[in-house]
Amino acid sequence: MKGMTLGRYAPFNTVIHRMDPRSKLLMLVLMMVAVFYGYQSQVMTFVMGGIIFILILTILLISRISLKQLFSSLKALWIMIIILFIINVLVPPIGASKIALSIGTYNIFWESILQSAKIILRLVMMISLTLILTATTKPLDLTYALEWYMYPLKLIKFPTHEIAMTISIALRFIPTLLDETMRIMNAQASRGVDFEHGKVKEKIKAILSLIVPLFMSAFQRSEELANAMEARGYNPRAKRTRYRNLHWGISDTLSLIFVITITTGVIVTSVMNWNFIEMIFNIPTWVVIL
Amino acid sequence: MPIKYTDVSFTYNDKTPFSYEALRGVNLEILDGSFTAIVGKTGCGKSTLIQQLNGLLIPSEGEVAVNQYVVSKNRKRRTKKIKELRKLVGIVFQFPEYQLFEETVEKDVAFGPKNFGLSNEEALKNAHDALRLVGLDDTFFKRSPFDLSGGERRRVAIAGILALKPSILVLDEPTAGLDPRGAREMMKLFKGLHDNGTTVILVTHDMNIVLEYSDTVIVMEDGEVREITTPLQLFNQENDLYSLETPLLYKFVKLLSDQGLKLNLNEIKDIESLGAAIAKARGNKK
Repeated sequence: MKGMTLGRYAPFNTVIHRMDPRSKLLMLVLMMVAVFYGYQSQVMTFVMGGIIFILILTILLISRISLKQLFSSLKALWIMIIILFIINVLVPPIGASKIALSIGTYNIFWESILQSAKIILRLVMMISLTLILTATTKPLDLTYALEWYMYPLKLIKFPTHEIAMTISIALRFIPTLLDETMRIMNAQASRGVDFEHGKVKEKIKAILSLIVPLFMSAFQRSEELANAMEARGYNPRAKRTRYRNLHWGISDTLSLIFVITITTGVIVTSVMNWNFIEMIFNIPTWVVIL
Repeated sequence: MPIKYTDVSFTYNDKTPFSYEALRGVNLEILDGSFTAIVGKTGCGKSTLIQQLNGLLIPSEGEVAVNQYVVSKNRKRRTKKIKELRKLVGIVFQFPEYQLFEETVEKDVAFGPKNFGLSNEEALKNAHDALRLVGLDDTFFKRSPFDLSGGERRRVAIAGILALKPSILVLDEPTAGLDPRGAREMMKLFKGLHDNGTTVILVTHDMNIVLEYSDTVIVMEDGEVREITTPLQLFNQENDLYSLETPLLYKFVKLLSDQGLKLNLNEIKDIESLGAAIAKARGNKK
């Protein structure tokens, strides 16, 4: 169960926490673009990646997310990283020429290793960015932001409010259902169910003893919630006001400008194929071709 | 000493921003064959306390010993036979009716015994015995648990634990949400089990039940054990201290004895015994 709470909102009061979810969402998209932009030379990819990575780490520290939390969310990715590495080693990129290691007649190329390292770096950055968003923004605020961005779709009669409501109800009930799961697991464990060990047949029975009551209670809860909403006169089409209004502040504007600058810088560097590393350090050409 | 808590502390979500200390340095002993009530406000750690008894929660500090089984963070001391411990200690959770999942009532009740290695026939026999014990006759055996009323489902769920024949029965507010008559029948059942030698541990908010059935009361507050006493001693002192409601019966008896009627408080558990005690005090030999 512990793994499910990853990326959960952590109630601190930092600058990042106080920012408008709309600006955070927009910045996430912009930063993702910056993370995934490619360069022609490998050195540039790693230097630019490194710069962005340091920036992301700084934001992580400011928003008081512990690196431990980041590592535990990367844990689930280990298998993917290994598979990526194996595929890259078995199927070297086109034009690979620099041999790093020879096992019998089989060659492992430096290019393969660099390629995997690049993908891993990008994945780590992507996960850190999402972690920053979800750990510093209340899920409900996030839905409000989404609803705000979907506003133009209202013109074509797209049910934005209904969708936002569905998402917020779903988010609201994740912790409730997790608690419920824990409760039922405890109750069944007291009846001798072993959720971790056992033969396949026993395991299926164990899961069944969890799923059936969980579904029963989820259906019951949804019915109760629907009744409660109807009793209070809920009408999805009605014009409504909110208890919590989104507030765009000066810090949002400033950080958005900052992120736009970075993303633009990344795009320009990539498109113009600037290689400032080469200009500054005058690195021998064999490293650059790498 | 069948149950012994030694310096038990428990923290939920330890080392995260959500950490919550539910138990602090709990020391207590529960005797074999006792009927112990655990009382205290909502959120004082009662449910956390009982979940340590069969290893569902492992104490953050300290250890819990049940007979020869030890539940502890220390891997060397911790029992390897957690399943045997769970057979020994049967826990009925709050609103247990939500744990039903099988197609028929008897299959659901037999589920537990089968998990502990009983054959199909033995498990079904145990299930039938347990169902009759909770007052559900043969007509219920083949019905779906989802067709039953809330009270009947509660009985089925409790039978599911009783079918394990635990020698320590732990009940977390078993009468919550039942009608008064159903609650009485339920408590009579637990009393019967206790008379047959089962150790009963009961979490409850109902002080009438505490007075009538329990012989030991553990009072909890803010994750700590404040007092281990008998019901009479507990109600005799100022109860506002723990915001517990003194039972009406006890108040009445107290008033009577203050007015000069010589009553033995130890004998009065319910209305019948009150009647008998009053008759005795007035010298009525009938």
